[in-house]
Amino acid sequence: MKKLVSVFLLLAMMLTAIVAPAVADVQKPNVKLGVAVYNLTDAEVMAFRAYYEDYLAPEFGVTLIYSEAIEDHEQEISFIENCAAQGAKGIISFVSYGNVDTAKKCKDYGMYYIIAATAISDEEFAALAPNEYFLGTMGPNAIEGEQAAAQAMAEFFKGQGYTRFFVAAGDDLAFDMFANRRLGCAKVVGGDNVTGYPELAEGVEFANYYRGFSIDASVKSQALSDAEVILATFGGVENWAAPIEMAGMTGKVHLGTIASFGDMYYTAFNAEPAQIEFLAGKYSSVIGPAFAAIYNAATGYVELARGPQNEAFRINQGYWFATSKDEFNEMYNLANNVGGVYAYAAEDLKQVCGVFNSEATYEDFMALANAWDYESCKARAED
Amino acid sequence: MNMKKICKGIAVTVGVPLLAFLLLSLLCQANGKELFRSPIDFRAFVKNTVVTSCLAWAISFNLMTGRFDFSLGAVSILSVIIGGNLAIKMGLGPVELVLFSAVVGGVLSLISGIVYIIFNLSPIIVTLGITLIYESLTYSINKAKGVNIIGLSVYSKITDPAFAFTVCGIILVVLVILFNYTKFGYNARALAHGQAVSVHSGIHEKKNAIGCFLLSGIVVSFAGCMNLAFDGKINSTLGLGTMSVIFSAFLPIFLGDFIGRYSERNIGILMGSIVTSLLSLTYSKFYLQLSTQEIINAVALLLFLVYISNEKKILSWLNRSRKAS
Repeated sequence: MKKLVSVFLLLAMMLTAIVAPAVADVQKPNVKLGVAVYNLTDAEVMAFRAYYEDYLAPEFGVTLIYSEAIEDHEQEISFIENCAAQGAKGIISFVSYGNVDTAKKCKDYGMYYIIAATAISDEEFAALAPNEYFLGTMGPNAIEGEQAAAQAMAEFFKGQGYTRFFVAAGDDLAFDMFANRRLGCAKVVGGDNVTGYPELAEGVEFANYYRGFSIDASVKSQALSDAEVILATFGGVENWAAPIEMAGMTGKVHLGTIASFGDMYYTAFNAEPAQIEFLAGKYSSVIGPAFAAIYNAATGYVELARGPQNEAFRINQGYWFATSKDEFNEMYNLANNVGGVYAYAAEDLKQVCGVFNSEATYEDFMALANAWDYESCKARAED
Repeated sequence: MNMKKICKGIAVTVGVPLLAFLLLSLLCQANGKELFRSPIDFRAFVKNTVVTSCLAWAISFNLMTGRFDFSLGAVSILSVIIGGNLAIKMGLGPVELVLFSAVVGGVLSLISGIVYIIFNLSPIIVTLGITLIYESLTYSINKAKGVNIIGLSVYSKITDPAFAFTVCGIILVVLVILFNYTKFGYNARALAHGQAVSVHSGIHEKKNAIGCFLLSGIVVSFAGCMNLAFDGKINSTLGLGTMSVIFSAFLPIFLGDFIGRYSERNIGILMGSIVTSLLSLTYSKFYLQLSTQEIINAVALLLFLVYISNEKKILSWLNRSRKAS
C-alpha cells in the first residue's frame, strides 16, 4: 500500500511539473504605479479599474494610485507630482491633455510613462519618442482603429438598405478620437461638411451629425422622428436605448455604437427585441499589455518594454465587433471573465514579464500585445 | 380683486407661453418644419417642462429668501439612485419609485438645512460642501453604477405625459396652497421681502429655512425620476458635476418672477418652464448644437434681466413715445 501511495505521489509530482506554467514562483517586488483617468464613473473606466485593482494588482503585488477625474493638464501634472511623492515607478495614462509635457515631468521624477487605450497623432508620437521614460502607446489608432470601427458600423446598417442616419458624434472638436469616428461614418453615409463629405452617399436620404456628449430630450425625439438608424459614436445604449423604447420605436429605429462589452450592453443585446444591433467594443483586459510593459520597466526590465533600438512602441488595438446576440454573448463572456479566464489573463502577462519569466523577450511582449483580436484571445483562453 | 386685474393676470400668465408658442411655430413653419410633429415631440416637451419646473421650484424656495442651494443637483441624482434602486430591488412600480425618491430627497435636503442652521455658515459654503458629500455618496452606493432601468419597461410609465402632468399638477397645487394660504407661506414671503423686519416681528427664520430645504428636496427628486425614466439610467457624478443642471433653471425662475406679479409665482415658474421647453423643441427642429443653444439661452436671459432691471425706465420711455406720436 505504501508503495502504491508513493508511486501515486511521485506521479502526481511529475504531472504537476509537466503541466505547471512556465511562470516562476518568485518573490514579487513591491511596485507602486499611478493610473491617470479622465472620469471615475464612466462604465469603461470602472471596468478597466476592476481588472487592474481586483485582478492584476494582487497577482503582481502592485499598489495602484488612482487619480480623481482629471479634466485638464494642470490636474494631470499635479497627479504626476503626487505619485512621485508616494514613490510610484510609473504612470499608466488614460488621459491626453499634454502628453509631451507630462512625459517630460515623469522623466524628471524617474517614472515611466505609457498611454493606454487611446492613440495619439504622428506629430505627438514623434515629439514623445526621444524621451526614454516614455514606453509607448496602445489603443485603437486613428485609421485602422477609430475610423474603421465607425465605418464598419455605418456599412453594417447601410448594407441592410437603411437610408436615414443620425450620427451622435461626441465632442469631435476637442478629441481626435471622436473626429475620426465621425469621419468613419461620413465616409459611408456622407452629408457632412465638417469632415469633407458634404454630399449624401448614394442611396442615403438623410444624415445629420450632432456634436456634444449631452443630447437634449428634444434633439433625441427629433432624431427618432427623422432617422432609421442612430450611429452613436459613444454610449449608444446609455443614451438611446430608453428613448427608443419609450417612444415605441424599437424595431423601427436601429442602434449601433462604439463602446465596451459591459453589463448594460449584455442586457440590451439580450432584450426581446434586441435594443442594439451593432457594437464595436473594447474589453476590460485589453489594457493588460500596457500593465505588463510598465511593470517590466518599473521592475528593472525596461529592455522588455522598449524596442531593440530602445525605441517606444506604438500598438494598434482595434475593437471587437458584435452584430448579433450570440456573437455578443460569446465575446462578453471572454471580455468579462465569465468562464474564469480574461482575454488577457495574469498568466499570459507574466509570461512576458522579466520578474516571472527570465526568458521573456521584447518580441514575446509585442506578439502578446498585438494578439488583441477576438480569435487570438479566444485561442489563448482555450489553451 | 377687481375683474380687470384678474383678466390681466390670466392674460399675462397664459399669454407669455402662448405668445412663445405662436412665434416659435411661425419660425418653424417659415422653415418648412412643424413644432409638434409627432407624439415623441410632445413627450420630450412634457419631460423638459416637468424637469425644469421641478428644478426651478426647488431652487426658488430658498432663493426667494436669499439662500442659493448648490446641492439640489446632487440631491436630485442621489435621491433617485437610492429610491430607484430600492424600488427595483423590491420589485415595486413607478409610483413607489417616485415616493421613495421623494422621501430620500426630502431627508437629504433636510440634512442640508440642519447643517446650515447648526453651523450658521453662508448657504453657498454649506451647500457646496454638502454637494461634494452627496456626489461622493452617488459614487459609493451600488458600486458607482448609479441606477439603471434599461429593459425595465414598467418604469417608463413615469414619462407618460398623463402621469408626469398629474404629479406635476399635484406638486403645483400643493405649492400654491402652501405658499399662499398657510402660515409657512406667509412667513416665507415676509422673509423674502425683509428678513430683519420679519425676524423682529416674531417670524422664526430658521424653522422656515428648514421647511424650505425639506420641500426643495422632495420637489427636485421628481426631476431626477423623470430624467431616470427618460434616459434609462442615472450615473454617479463627481467633481461638482451636478451643479451645472441648476443653471438651466434660471430663465424659468426669472420668467416666473415676472409672471408671478400678475398671478402666482409658482404658476409663473411653470409657465416659464413651458417657454424654455418650447425653445428647446425649436432648437431640436434645426438640430442646433448645444453650444449654440446655450449662447441663445444666455443672451435671452441677459436681455430679460436687462428689461426687468430697467422696466420702469423702459415703460415710461414707451409711454412718452406713445404720447409724442
